[in-house]
Amino acid sequence: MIRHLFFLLCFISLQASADGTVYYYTNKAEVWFSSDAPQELIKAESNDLRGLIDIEKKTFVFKVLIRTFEGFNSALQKEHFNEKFLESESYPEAQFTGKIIEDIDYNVPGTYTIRAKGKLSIHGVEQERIIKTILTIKNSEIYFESNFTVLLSEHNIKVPKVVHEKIASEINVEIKGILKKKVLE
Amino acid sequence: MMASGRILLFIFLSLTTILRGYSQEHLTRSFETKLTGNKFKIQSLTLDSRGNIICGTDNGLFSFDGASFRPTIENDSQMTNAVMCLFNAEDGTLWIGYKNGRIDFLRNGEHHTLLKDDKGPSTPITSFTESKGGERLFISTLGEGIFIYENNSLSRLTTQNGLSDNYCYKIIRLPDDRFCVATDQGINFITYGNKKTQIIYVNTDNGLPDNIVRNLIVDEEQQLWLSFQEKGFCSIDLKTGHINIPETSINWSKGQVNSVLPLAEQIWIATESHGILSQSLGGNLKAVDLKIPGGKNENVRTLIKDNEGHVWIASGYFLIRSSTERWNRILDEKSSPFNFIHCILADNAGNIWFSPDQQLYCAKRQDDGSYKFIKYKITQQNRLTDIVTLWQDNHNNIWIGTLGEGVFVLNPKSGRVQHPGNHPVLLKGNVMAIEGNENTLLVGGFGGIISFLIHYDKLTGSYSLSPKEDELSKILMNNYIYSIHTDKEKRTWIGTDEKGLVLMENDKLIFFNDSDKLPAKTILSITSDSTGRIWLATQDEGIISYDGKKFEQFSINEGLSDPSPTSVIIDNNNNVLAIHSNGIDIFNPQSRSFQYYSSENGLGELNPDLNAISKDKDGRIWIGSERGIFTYHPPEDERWQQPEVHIEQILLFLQPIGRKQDLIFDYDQNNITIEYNSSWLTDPNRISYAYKLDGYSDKWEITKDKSESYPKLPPGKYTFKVKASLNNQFLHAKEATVTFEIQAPFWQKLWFRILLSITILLMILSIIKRRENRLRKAEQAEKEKIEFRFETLRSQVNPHFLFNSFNTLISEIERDPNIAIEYVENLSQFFRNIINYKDVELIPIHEELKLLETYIFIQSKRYGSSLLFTKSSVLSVKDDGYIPPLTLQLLAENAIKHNAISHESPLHIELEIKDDYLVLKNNINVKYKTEDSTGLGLVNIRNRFKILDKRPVLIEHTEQYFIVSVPILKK
Repeated sequence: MIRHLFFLLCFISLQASADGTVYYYTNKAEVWFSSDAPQELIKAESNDLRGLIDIEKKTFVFKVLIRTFEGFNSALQKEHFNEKFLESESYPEAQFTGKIIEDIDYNVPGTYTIRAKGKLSIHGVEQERIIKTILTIKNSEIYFESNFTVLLSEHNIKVPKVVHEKIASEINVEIKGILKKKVLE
Repeated sequence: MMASGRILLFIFLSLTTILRGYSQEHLTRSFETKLTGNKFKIQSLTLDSRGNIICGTDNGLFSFDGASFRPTIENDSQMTNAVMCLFNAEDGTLWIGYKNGRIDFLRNGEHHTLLKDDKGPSTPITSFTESKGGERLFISTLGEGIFIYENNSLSRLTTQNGLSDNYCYKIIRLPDDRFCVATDQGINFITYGNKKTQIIYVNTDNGLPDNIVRNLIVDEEQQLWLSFQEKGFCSIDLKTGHINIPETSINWSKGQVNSVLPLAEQIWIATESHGILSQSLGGNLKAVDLKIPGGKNENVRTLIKDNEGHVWIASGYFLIRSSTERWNRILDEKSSPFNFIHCILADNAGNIWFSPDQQLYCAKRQDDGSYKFIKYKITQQNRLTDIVTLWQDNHNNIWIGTLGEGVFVLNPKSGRVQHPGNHPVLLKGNVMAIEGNENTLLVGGFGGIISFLIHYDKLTGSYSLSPKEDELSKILMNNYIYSIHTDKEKRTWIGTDEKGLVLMENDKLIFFNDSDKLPAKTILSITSDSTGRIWLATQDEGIISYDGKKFEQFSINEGLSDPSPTSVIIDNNNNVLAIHSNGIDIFNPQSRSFQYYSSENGLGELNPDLNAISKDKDGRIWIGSERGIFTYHPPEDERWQQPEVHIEQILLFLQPIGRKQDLIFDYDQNNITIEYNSSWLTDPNRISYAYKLDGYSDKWEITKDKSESYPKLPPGKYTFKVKASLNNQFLHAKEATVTFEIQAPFWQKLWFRILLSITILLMILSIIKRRENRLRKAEQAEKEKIEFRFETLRSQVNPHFLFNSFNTLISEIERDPNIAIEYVENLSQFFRNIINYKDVELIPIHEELKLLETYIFIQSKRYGSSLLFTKSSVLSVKDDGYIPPLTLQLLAENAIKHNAISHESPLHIELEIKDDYLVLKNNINVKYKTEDSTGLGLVNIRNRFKILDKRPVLIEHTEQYFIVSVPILKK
């Protein structure tokens, strides 16, 4: 609770915002990823994805703590994931910040495909990404879903040769969630 | 089977139609971007002012001369950063933008960084542009908006000033001097002013397909082309403001477009993941095969046009050259090239007729500019006959000449084919050339040339030819005829085998051969240019032109690649194309220079048939070869392209001198190297240079080197001249010069020399003068000596003296004979001395003393005690002094001569030494009766001494005494 308020405040303090700005916010969206390698299929998910969209500025921030991923094939695997590959002690969060290219009227219900363009930061390395996302607006809520690929090499995530057949160099990621409207005075 | 006298028509209705589009293939060459083992990826390309390609890569800046890469600045570690963009400003400065926000520029070969101390951008630089006149530099960045650099200060345009988005991909200056910026939120048109800046937005709200605009370019027709991240590309007409979205962009599925390049007949689209696509006007989008070695790399970063008609593409680790604007190859419906094209013809409607085997193809020109193939079968199925020549008459029918089956005429509309007559050559002949007009037709082949009269039946569309019996047929009966060409003046030129050139004008025949100075015997192809000049392609003698008066040959010595070109044709820029087995030469008659296209450019190993060449009404030249059909599109710009040479830098003792230094060197700065370069991206290895150093040599030297060194230049003024050429003909090549001077060391300079000469002259003069003086002095001394001696002699031979001496002698004899003997002895001694000292210059003092004493003795005998002589005692001691002989004697004589000597007034002569002077003193007894005296004696003595010694003779004439002091001389 404190954490998510803190998160909200952090975000707001970075923006020079006027009163009465409309945000759409979630703190429990879902992230899945899967590594489909010849010798092993690894899947994990987290329900801890937090995100916020400023519809006036067309900007967004999404974050997830690496530690919150569950579902590996073994506890050891999860440990390796955190300690070795993503070094979550040094880089606790994965984050995507940027802007929405398309102009949509968030008051009009419907389904829209937009491009979220910004910096995707994983393992401390930022990459410029354009990620297509489907937004479905209904009842003042935004349901979003998206899938994209993350290249381990682009984020300096090193996979030792021994396990090459077990870990794919391209990871498929899916996210989905519901953003609810919030007005800040 | 034909009935005699009647013309039967063979009608072949087996018309095989294949209606498929043909495709055009450009000729490419890939260059791996590799240098000393390191590969690099190109992010940005630009042309420098010299025509070379500058590559901005993720590893710094490189220049490319058409064959190899070279780092732009040697050994500059700073420069090996990721370059994002390049910009050539109007003043020649090259601006470089880096991924980390740094901005550098290259000016006059020197590399500078624009801002120090982190004052500038910190996000990647995406592009530069400048205001008209170059006062302001605009810099677009990814995240910080637009920076404006003016008068050493930096300002910024961001979303706060009204910019759509701070992520700016490109900024360009439009023809109306506004600026256009491509951002993540559409494009902005900016009118920049000192006080107020106006911004107009164009984005998806205004009809733009996509907001993320990655690139902008303006073409020659004032169309602004936009490249989108997701929705392909579109254009905006800058005059009307209308947005044109091409059909292919609706439902665009080819990913992100990085750049768009408008070309003459198509637009090339460089994409992030689908390679290069080509959009032709009104046509479909087609993939362009770049033929990159090692498989496909679908990422194309950027592409530019150069000055030689090529398009350069940066993709992956390669730089690819495409000839698409000039040279293309035609592919069939299966996208493979045709083989062994024997002949080709562009007809009046723009259709292309050609024959790759025994069939006749027609590439029919469509309304949208594309072509569709139609195949015609001419001969019977089971007979193999080559179609070797094509001609179109004024009824738009196609005449076909074959080897072995004579001549056919095809009506393209109906598809009807016929033999136009019964004559054996029309039925079974080997026909190499057909040409004619409304009434006559000339058919040439292995059996010579035959003229026919044409009868054309309009109703039936049939031809019947009746042979004309004329000189032509008879004379050339046993000759092979290779080509027939009728020029603008209606003269018909015929090329033969071994019999030279034949001209038929108004039914008169003129033969040209050796005696007319036509060096060739076998003429393979004939054409004429707009000035009426005839051009021949010959066997072994290159191409030869005829201007009505004389033949001019252009073969190997003049730069032609092959002495036996198979065809020759004139393009619309009045340049001559010569096709030969391993390439194509383009010759410019005014400058007598060539452009070469060969295997380097994908045009090697053509092995074309004779006269397989034709020009269509758009000016495009169609060439038939063993490897298929090639087309050549001459440039719109008529300027003839040749490599131009520039002086790059001057080195002194192999070290480059600074740019600003004036070129005046000292005499010992005499090891000069001059570096020069030129650019010919088509084939840089063809360039050769001619150079000359005026002031050093009068001869032009030819080399392939790009520098010349002169190790020990003597002082002087020099001008280095250099020219570049592709065919070793430098007469009309542009010259680059640089003048420098090596100053003479001061000892070689004119002023010094003059001064020296004057000094020497003066020295000589002074030497001469001194010598003269010396001689004069010597002469004078001699004269003095002589005079002195003369005087002395005179006084000695003085009769008075003798008289008196004898008188004295007589009285002495009577008085005292012994003393008389002594007297005579002294007298004789005296005279002997005079004789002895006649020629002696100086005698020791003691000898003079003896002489004096002898004289005094003689005189004292006469005067007795009235004459007194005393000498100081010191005198006898001194004997290292000298004196001219008879000096003292003369002085004593003077004393006796000028003074009275009597008992009452005796004469006292005293001699002493005083301060190195001999002093003779006598008291003065005034005499009333003077003896003869010239007065010269004393003067003589004085002059004598003047020559011999610095010290003068001192004469003191007091009341009582007369004192003469003479200096004692040293020898």
